[in-house]
Amino acid sequence: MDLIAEKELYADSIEFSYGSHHSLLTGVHVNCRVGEVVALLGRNGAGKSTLMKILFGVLRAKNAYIRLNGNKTRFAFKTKDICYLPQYRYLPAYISVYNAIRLMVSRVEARKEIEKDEVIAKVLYQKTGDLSMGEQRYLELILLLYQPATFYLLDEPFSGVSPYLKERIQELITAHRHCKGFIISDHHYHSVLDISTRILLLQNGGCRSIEHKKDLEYFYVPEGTFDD
Amino acid sequence: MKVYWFYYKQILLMNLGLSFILSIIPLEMDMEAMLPVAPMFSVDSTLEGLRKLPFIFATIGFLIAIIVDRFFYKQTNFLYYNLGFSKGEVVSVAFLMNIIVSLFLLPLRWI
Repeated sequence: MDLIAEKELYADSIEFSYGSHHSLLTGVHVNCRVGEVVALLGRNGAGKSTLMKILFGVLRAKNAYIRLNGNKTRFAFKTKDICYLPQYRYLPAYISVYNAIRLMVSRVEARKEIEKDEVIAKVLYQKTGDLSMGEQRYLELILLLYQPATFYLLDEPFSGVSPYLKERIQELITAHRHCKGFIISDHHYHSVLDISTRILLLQNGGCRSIEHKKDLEYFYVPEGTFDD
Repeated sequence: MKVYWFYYKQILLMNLGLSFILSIIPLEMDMEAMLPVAPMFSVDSTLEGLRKLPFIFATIGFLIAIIVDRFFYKQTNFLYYNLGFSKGEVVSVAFLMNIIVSLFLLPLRWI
């Protein structure tokens, strides 16, 4: 069997609560294989970002069983096989785009590819703090995509992004899909659903698998949203 | 190494500035009132302060710089995580780097 196809991010029995009373996640099960783009949807406060941080290994859950490519892991980020795009910027504002590329990407050819990118080339010598929200998200995402990771957790990659950059981000994800797996959470559900191969809805502390996006009208979006 | 150096550079200037201020302010305690008393600046007090700089730079200056960094650049933790480093690792290496740099400041003890 193809080695890439065997790679999987698998997690179950994820339980997380704030304090002793408010249980946010109660036995969540989620998985992602290479080639998949999993749309992780849910209302504000459903626990999408929390779940991603637990999968990434930077937040300790009350209970969690996480397996990355067959190996049980607690600090998944240390394997360098998983990346997380947080909701807020992770690059300091004072660093230039050029230096950020040098800091995060070590392969010279990869750096050149990024520098030649249509969006990045225009802002190459600007400070990241001077970029528009969309340009920042695009830069941060492209820097992650050039890491040697297989799985990507993207927390609101389309939020605050112009329609043009939204399309570019979608293209980036689609272009890397053949060798990577993505779990994407965003309130701009149309942007996520356009490129997703599977839909998961995080609701009442658990994950529900959604077969057809029309079914989301029962749980998440207003009725008639997906009427043709 | 590049990542460690990047983090260290971020706190180095902060640490230098803080350590300089902390070392030259001639603070003394009024032990009875338990209040800090600030005597007037003088050449002697400044020189005396500078002699303490390497020690402050290696200890409390570093600690405060880490706390300030954590406050202003908390979100950049994900930069290190995404490159496979935990914050503990990055801070520990920065501490060792800081000890080495403070050795270069050690001649200030004898001014």
